[in-house]
Formats: sequence, C-alpha cells, structure tokens
Amino acid sequence: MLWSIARRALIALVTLLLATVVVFGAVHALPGGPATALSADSTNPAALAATMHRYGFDQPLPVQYGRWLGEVVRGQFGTSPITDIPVATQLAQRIPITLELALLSLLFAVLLGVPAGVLAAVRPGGLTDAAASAAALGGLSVPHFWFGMLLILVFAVHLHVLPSGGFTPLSGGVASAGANLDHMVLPVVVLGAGLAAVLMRQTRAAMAEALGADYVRTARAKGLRERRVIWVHALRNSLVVVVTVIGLQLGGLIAGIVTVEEVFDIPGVGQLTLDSVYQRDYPTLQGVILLTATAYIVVNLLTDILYTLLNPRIRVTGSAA
Amino acid sequence: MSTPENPPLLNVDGLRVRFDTRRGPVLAVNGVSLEIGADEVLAVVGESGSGKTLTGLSVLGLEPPGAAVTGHAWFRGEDLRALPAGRLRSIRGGQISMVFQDPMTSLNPSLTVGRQVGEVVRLAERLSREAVRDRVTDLFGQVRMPSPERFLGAYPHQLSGGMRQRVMIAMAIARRPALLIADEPTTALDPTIAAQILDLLASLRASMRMSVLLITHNLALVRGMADRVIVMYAGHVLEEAPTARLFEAPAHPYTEGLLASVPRAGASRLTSRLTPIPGQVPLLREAPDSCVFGPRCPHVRDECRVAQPPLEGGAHSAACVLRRLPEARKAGGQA
Amino acid sequence: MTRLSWLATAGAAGAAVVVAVAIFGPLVAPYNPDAVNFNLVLAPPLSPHHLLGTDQLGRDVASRMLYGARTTLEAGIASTLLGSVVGLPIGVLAGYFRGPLDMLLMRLVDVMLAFPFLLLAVGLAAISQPTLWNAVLALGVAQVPQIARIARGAALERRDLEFVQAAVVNGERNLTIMRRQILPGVLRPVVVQTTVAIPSSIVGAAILSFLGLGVQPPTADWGAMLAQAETYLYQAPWLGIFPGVAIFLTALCFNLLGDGVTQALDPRRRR
Repeated sequence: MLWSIARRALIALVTLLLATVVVFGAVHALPGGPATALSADSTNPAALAATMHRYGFDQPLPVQYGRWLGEVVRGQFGTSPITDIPVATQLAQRIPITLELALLSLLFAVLLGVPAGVLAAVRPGGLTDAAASAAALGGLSVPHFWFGMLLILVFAVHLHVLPSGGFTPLSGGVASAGANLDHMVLPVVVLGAGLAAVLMRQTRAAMAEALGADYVRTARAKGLRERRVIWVHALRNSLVVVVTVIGLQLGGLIAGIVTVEEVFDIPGVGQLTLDSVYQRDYPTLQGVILLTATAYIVVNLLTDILYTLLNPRIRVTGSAA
Repeated sequence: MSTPENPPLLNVDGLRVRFDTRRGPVLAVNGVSLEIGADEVLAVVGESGSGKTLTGLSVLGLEPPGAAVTGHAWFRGEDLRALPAGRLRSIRGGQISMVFQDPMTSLNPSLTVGRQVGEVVRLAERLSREAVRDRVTDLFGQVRMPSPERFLGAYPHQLSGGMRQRVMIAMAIARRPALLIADEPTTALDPTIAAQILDLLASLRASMRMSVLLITHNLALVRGMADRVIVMYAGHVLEEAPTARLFEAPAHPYTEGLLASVPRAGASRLTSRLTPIPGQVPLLREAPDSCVFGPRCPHVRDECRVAQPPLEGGAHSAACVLRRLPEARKAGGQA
Repeated sequence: MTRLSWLATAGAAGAAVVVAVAIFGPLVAPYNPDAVNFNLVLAPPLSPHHLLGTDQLGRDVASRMLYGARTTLEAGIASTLLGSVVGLPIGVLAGYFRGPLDMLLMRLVDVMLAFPFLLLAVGLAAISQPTLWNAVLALGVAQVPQIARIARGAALERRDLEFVQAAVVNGERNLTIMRRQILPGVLRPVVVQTTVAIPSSIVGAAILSFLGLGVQPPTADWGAMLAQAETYLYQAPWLGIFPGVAIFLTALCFNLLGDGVTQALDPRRRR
C-alpha cells in the first residue's frame, strides 16, 4: 500500500513540475517579454536592460527555467512592482485567511450535505427526499456570487444582522472569534451551499445503492436496529463518495473562493489573484498561480490517498482486486 | 411430523407473494403452506423461479421492496407477518436466524468479520469488549475455523468462500436460535467445501437441537440432511414427503423428473441416463386455471387442464390428479 | 424509445425557451442594449416603456437581458463543445492504445486538471486581454480532463469486448476500428457528461464575466450585468435580481435536462 501512495506522490510531483513549466512558459509569452512584466518601470530602456540582466533573461531558456525554479522552490517569488512588497510576504499573510474560509465551508458542506443525503435515501420519495433533492438542485444551479449578493441584501442591508463584508482576524480571545465568525457566516454559507448540494446528491445515490445491498439484508436478518443498519452499515460504504466528490469539486471550489472573497471583500489569496490581474502585477500573479496549482495538486493527492485508505480492499491488498 | 402434543415450531399458512410488474401482477409464491417441528430439518426444493427463496425471506419479513406478501407465519404462538417491527426485529437473529446464499455480497465489505459477528453477540447481552472477543473467537471455533483469533480482524474479501460462509453461520448461531433458515448455503461454494459446510450444519443442528429450513435446488444435499422435503414449482407446493419416501416413491411427475435429471452417485453412464425436464418454469400471472406443471408433464391429461390440483394425502402428499386415479399411476415410474 | 421524466421534460422545455430567447431575443428587443439615456437612470421595473427598469446608464434592462442570453448561452455551450471535441479523441486514443501513449496523454490531462478554469482565465486575461473567447477557451480546457477520463474508461471497456478483438485479429486498421467499434460505445457516456456539464459552464461563464475576466463592458451579459449591479445593490436591487434569476433558471433547466438524460441513457440506472 505504501508503494501505491509513493507512486501517486511521484506522479503528483511530475504533474507539478509540468505545471511549473506551463507557468514559466506563460510568463515568457507575455507581451513585451518577461522583463516588461517584472520591472517596475517598463518604459525606461535602461531599467529594462538592467532587469533583463538581473533576471538572466539573456540566458538560454532551460537555464532560465532552472534558475527560476530554484528561486521558486525556495519561496522567492519576487517583489510586486505595484506595492513593492515581496510576494511571498503577501501570500503568507493571506493564506491563513483563505484557508479558514475554505475549511469552514468544507465543514459546513459536509455537515449539511451528507446527513441530508442519508435521510433522503432512507425514505425515497418521501417529504425529506423531495425537499432535500429540490434544495440540492437549487444549490447546484444558483450562481454563488448572486446568492451572496442576495444574502447581503437580505441579512446585511435590510436586516442588519450580519456584516456585508470585510474580515476580522482572530487575535485570541472570544470577542475576536465572535467578530471573525460574524464575518465568515455569509461567505461560508455561500461557498458551502454548492458543495453541499453535490454532496447531498451523491450521498443519496450511494446510500440508496448500499441500502439495497445484500449485506444490509443480512444486517436486518441479524436483528439489528434500523438506525444501526443505516448509520453504521450502509453509510460506511458510502463515505468514499464524499471524498471523491470533494476531489472532483476542487476546481469549482477555487473559483468559488475567488468570487466569494471578491463579493464579501475578504483579504485572502483569491482577492489577491483578482487584484493582480487588474493591476497587471505579474510577479504576484505568478506567485498566486503557482501556489494555487500546487495546492490543487496536493489536495488532489491527499483525497486520492484518503480514498485508498477508506477502501479496505485497496488498503490491504494494494489494489482493487 | 407435528402432532397435537408436539405443535410445529413454524407454521406457514397460505403464503402469497405478489409483484406488480409492467406486464401485470406476478404471483411468485402462490398459496404455500408448510410446517417445521422442533429439532427437525425441512428441505424446500425447487428450480430457480420456484419461489422457494422468497418463501424463506418472507418468513422473516425480509422480502424485497415491491413484494406484496399475504398469509401467515405462526411461530411460537405469534404471527410473524402481523407483528410490529420492533417485535419482529427481536425475533430475528435471536429465535430465527438466516444464512444467505452468497457470503461475499452478504457480508459488509467495510467491517471486519469479528465486528460483524460481535454485533450479534452484543444484541444478546451487554458484554465488555474482551468478553465479546472471547465469544466471537469461541463461535469461530464452533464453526470450525482454524486459529479463530486470527480471523477477528479480517475483512470479508480476505477470506475464502468457505470461510465466509462459516462466518455467516457463526452470526446465525450466535444467539442459539430455535430455527435456522438456510437459503442455498452451499450453492456458491466448491463441492469439497460445500460438503464441509453441510457437515458443519448437520453437527451444529444436532448439538444445538436447532430446526433448519433448508432451501436448495440440490437434491443430493437433501438426501443427506433433511427429515422431510417439500417440492416447489412456480410458486406452488407440488409434493411433500419424508425424505426417504420421496426418493423411493415420488408421487408427483415433477419430482420424478427431478430425480431422473440429476446424476446419482453410484450410477454409471451405461446404466442410467440423465433426462432433463423439457421446457421452463413459468411466471404465474394470477390463479392458474390448470396444473402449473401440465405443459411439461409427460402424463398430462384432460383433468389437468381444469384447475391446479390441491395437495392431497397425509404425511406424503402431492398436488396431482394422478393421486386420485390409482390405475393411471404409471407402473415402473418410480426411480 | 426512451422517455424522460416530466421534470426532465419541463427542464428541456425551459432550456428550449432560453435558447429561443438567445436566438430571437435581439429581434424583439425594444431598445438597443447599449443605448444610454441619462435622463432615465436607475428607473425601477414597471416604469413606462421600461418593463424591467433601466440601469445606471439609463440602458433598458429588458433589452440587455435579451441580448445577454445570447452571450451567456454561447459561452456555456461553446466551451462544453470545445471540451468534448478535444477530450473525446484524447480519451479514445489513450484507452485504445494504452501503454506509453496512455501514460503520456493522462499526464497531459493531469496538468490540465491542475489549472482550474479560473486560473486559466486569469492567466489568459493576463497574457492577452480578457474576452469572451478567452473565457470560452478557459472553460473548455477545464472540461477536457473529465471528458477525456470518461472517454478513456469507455474505450477501455469497449476494447476488451470480443467483437473488437476479432476486428483487431482480422487486421483491420486502427482508425477504422476506433471509428466503428469503439466510438459508438464512447459516445453515449460522453453525451451524457456533456449535457450534464452545460449548466456548470453557463454558471462558470457568468462567474468569469462577473469577475471581469470574460466579456467586457459595454457588452450585455448576465454575469457582467451582475457585476455592475453590485455597486447599486442598495439603490436598485432589481439590477441584481433579474440577471441572477435568469442565470439560475437557465442552469436549473439544463440541470433538469441533464438529470433526465442521465437517467434515460445510463444503462445502470434503468429501473
């Protein structure tokens, strides 16, 4: 089993390297060349030449790639020509914020979607099923930025119950935690709703299949309580679905994070991405893209491994024999 | 055989199982009645589609969704079909348990076998974790699993078919039920392993004085193990007899046909031929207006096309018009 | 042959309506969607001459909605088609030839997977300009991995079927085999996946225009309209409600349609 994990990690690494090549190539495809992008003043020919020399753009491409890769791996993404702050510093500040948003949303989605799916599967065609399925369909179809706007309209503007945006960092103590969560409620709901919808549908499907399986019949024949049959026997075999879904939905989640941070004015990595595009801040953009691609690949790897662990067949024999 | 002084343990009366299909209602089980006494083995024999498995499932209320079941199943004074869910649940596993055909799909692939058997043990009494472990190990020993402790943490897919079936049996006997329903317990196994499992069942039944409802299509099994036999076809019971009688003097043409189509130990190629029964088991729409076996019966006559003959006879009964016409009974038709 | 549930039929009808609006909408629009009118800025719905009101530049919302259907739908459907057209051959080739080609193609697909559509759109916007077609490209490339995987899986299954192996033994050319034997078995799941992917593409396109990474003003597009509506959310909420409802209903209809198609065509789910 360790071998299959190692193999997956290796493939992920290769993919990551290829991704860096893509990013590297993209930087060099910029109009005016990379020097224009990376220097603060792109109209001054002397400054341009200096930048070119400094970054070694007069060297052959593979050498440049090697140098660039070396710097990137050491966390040196350069400095933003707009704000003059090192990109790495910016990223370090914003990562925890985005992480909090992402994790809370994930938690919300799982806590909402999975039980809803189970309950819907237990009584197919019933009221719970109809309501949950309809809600899930809605959650799938609604563009979350619009949903966010609506929620802001209702809760912040009209009801004045929640703030309409911004962020309060956790500085220790209950009060700041309260304010922090206050700001997080709407974004988390918006971001988590779409994922919860998919989770609910997939859980329902997996549970429906599990509940019709022979081993559930055996469990009932043993005289087990129905509750145990559902939550222990059937659900256990459906949990892999949760992991798989999360892996598949990552792309949408990333888009969601960026939009939510924009709509709710949260200073995370997503907002930084957008700002750097608008301002043509290429070093920052490059850093953000690299970071996001890496995170994506890593999380994919983790869900892959988790899936392997959850499936006892693979766990023990090393393959789905 | 049950007598007034020795009431039957299980008395199934007029069981009907109906499915509503796109082409109309289908009666998979059509008026089946049977009795099992204490410490008795009753075999229910039939081809696929005869309704034998559904009969067994319906006793415990485990019929598939979409099945409309009517009739009664009296067990120790209670009608299992009319019980509230909680009461039925308490009887399942405790007083009546079931072993299924395919142990691979009938065991939960994500739980260890130790845990799955442990669940049953815990239902009986509250025990500490170690006590449960000991009980499970003990049960594994009773079903003749070698080095039982080793298997506690094993998953179903790690075990061979025979081992899995032993686990199923261990689950079924854990609470010492009075009745064990065994649905094709050896069909999915190799012949050698099947023989071992049957042997195990026989010895468990003797040591625990358990009754067994053995559902199978394999006549050879029946001979070694059952006290009485019921032959089912297309949802009906066609013959019922003590085992020896059935094999010596089958009273229904279908039974005769079954016996002739099965290879017998000791018979050589030269002395006996295998004669399959032509045709296929029909799916019944409603109450038949002729004998269900008629289309495939070598002795069919006009009287057969009037109605499904009722079961007649005492300890050895058959649903055939030939019973009423002793002179029409084919001489030499006994195998 | 196969029947759709009534929900799916309703979805299909709704989707057809949206498509009709996209095609014919501009013909019946009362105003030019770009026509500004500073005398009648931010008029609420049910104002005279402006059924759905006007926006911050006095442009008629109803007309912009009708034109917007076209861009939104174009983006959604074009990107899905792009994903399928590129993904299907990749998957079939990988699944049919297996071996090193399979590994190579799948690594290529993995790299594509590593860049979710937003990053691609961001990248494209940075390299050139944000335009509708960049958005379509980004969304399309993002869909290739899923289609390729499904096509590959189906091709792998088909490949092992006996009549395919018979054709191989017979010495038929690879291309012929792929076209005649493999393709039919691959088309069904790919069509299902394509139908299912349309609503996500539509919403994705809306997201990109909302963020300014796709369609640029003054083009009428539901996502872009929502972006502008954000600023006027308090004063003129209708600016945010109408386009959002439109996107929502469109996605809903296509989702219902996709669900119905999945149930009707996926053999495993047939009850």
